[in-house]
Amino acid sequence: MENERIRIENLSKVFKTRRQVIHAVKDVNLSVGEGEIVSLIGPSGCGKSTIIRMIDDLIKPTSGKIFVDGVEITGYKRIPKDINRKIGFIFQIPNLLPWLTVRENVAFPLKIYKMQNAEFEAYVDELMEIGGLTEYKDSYPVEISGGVAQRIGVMRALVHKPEIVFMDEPFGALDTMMREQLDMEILNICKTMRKTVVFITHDVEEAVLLSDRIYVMGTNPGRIVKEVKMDFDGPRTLSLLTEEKFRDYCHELTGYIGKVDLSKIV
Amino acid sequence: MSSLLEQTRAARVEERKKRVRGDKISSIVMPVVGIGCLFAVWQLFITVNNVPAWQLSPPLKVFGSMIFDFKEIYMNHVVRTFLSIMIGWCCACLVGVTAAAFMCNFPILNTMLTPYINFLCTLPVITLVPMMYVFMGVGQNVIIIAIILQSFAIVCMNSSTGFLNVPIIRKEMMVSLRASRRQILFQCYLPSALSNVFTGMKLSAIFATTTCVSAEVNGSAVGLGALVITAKAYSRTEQMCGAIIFIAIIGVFFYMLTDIIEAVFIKWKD
Repeated sequence: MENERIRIENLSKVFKTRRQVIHAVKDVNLSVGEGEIVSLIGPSGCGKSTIIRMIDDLIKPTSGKIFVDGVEITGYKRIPKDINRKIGFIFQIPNLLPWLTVRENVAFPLKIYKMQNAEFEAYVDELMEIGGLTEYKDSYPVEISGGVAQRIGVMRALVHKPEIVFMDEPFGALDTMMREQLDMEILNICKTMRKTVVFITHDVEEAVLLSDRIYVMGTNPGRIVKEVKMDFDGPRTLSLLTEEKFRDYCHELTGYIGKVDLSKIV
Repeated sequence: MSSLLEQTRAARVEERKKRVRGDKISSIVMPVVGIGCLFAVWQLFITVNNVPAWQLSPPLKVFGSMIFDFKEIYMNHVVRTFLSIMIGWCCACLVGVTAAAFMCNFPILNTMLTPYINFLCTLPVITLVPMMYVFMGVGQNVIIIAIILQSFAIVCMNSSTGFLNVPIIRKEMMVSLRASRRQILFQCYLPSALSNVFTGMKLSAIFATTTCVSAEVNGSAVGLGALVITAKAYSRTEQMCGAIIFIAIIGVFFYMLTDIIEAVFIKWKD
């Protein structure tokens, strides 16, 4: 693949408890190219989140290799700083810090990275504008709604201008209408800014709407069962939801997920 | 959609403001009413039962003594007790939070110190004071050390609970940002645990007051605890009651001081 940003080779993760050994991820191979939006879909417990958490160095793999921009990060005790700063992570829940205002929450990574200069401060305001957060800038998280909170989580992940963004079911807790709206917003932002995105979801329609490529995962052990490339003409809009090709992709992917033996889910 | 969100937000903010305003008024008025009732019942009890003043002074006589004898009798004792509690309590808060931060960062230290903290929390330090008087001699330093020993354990225990209850996903965000140990402590752990830290400080303010007065009762010549004992010896019940009220005022002062500091630091609280 040209301009490969992420490559994973034979990645496995085993969780050992007193009672059992769980193969959360087994021999996963995948790659993500520059500017691509790649989704990992599959039923709960198939190891989708585990994979991006391993790439972001939140958990260590049991075996296998992870390359980010050609650098093998599994060879380091902690992910190198320069690689880490290329990554933004959007969590399942907004994960806002309640003692910071909306603007301070968006700018929080800059404080940690010690990147609080005029250029980035202006960028914070720009992101607040893009995310429709300007009117809430002095509010505290307790005063805002769930949808706004999740938008703050998205903007916070983008504030240090990461080239790669991981999204771990970011809109899973929101209602369908709000989710579709945010899906389109995030798609526009990532496409405009040429971000490389790894998107985790269990919603097939959401994955088809957003992705360039989709990896379907199976459970017990967590593994990739199929890779499907999305090939749509024209821009991605919500009108795509009514197109036949969109429905065909959804049916095809649901079929692959359906082949996963759900009785084996731990 | 955005106007609906805006309306929801405005309604929430308005509701919150109303609640805060109502809480503020009732938090001032209700305690005053409560205290007024207590003094009324006290005065009524004395009048109805014709209790002699040497047995129990009426509240008006007590207040008179507190005002007119303040400079001559109370001031020296009030200042001494106030200073002992302030120095001891401030040191205890500082030591308690620092110890909790270290204990939560280094699990070995946590395992090692937890039994001591539990021991100090459950043991009334006043039982150690006579021994400390024998070892160190009678003086303010013994009282301050007793306050620190009793109060820091409470602050430490509550702060540790706060540090240990930081949501895992919040810690993961800090790890994801590759924050340093210092950044994790000051940007995540401490603000997350602040509510618990202040709870510990409030409790320790109460413990500091009781420990200080108990230590003064045990052997000191100066301080409100000592004044209670001296006044009892001369059957000056109005001075005894006055000293007790001053002790209560000092205790409430430190408790409320923590409340004010908490309100300054925790602006985001719902």
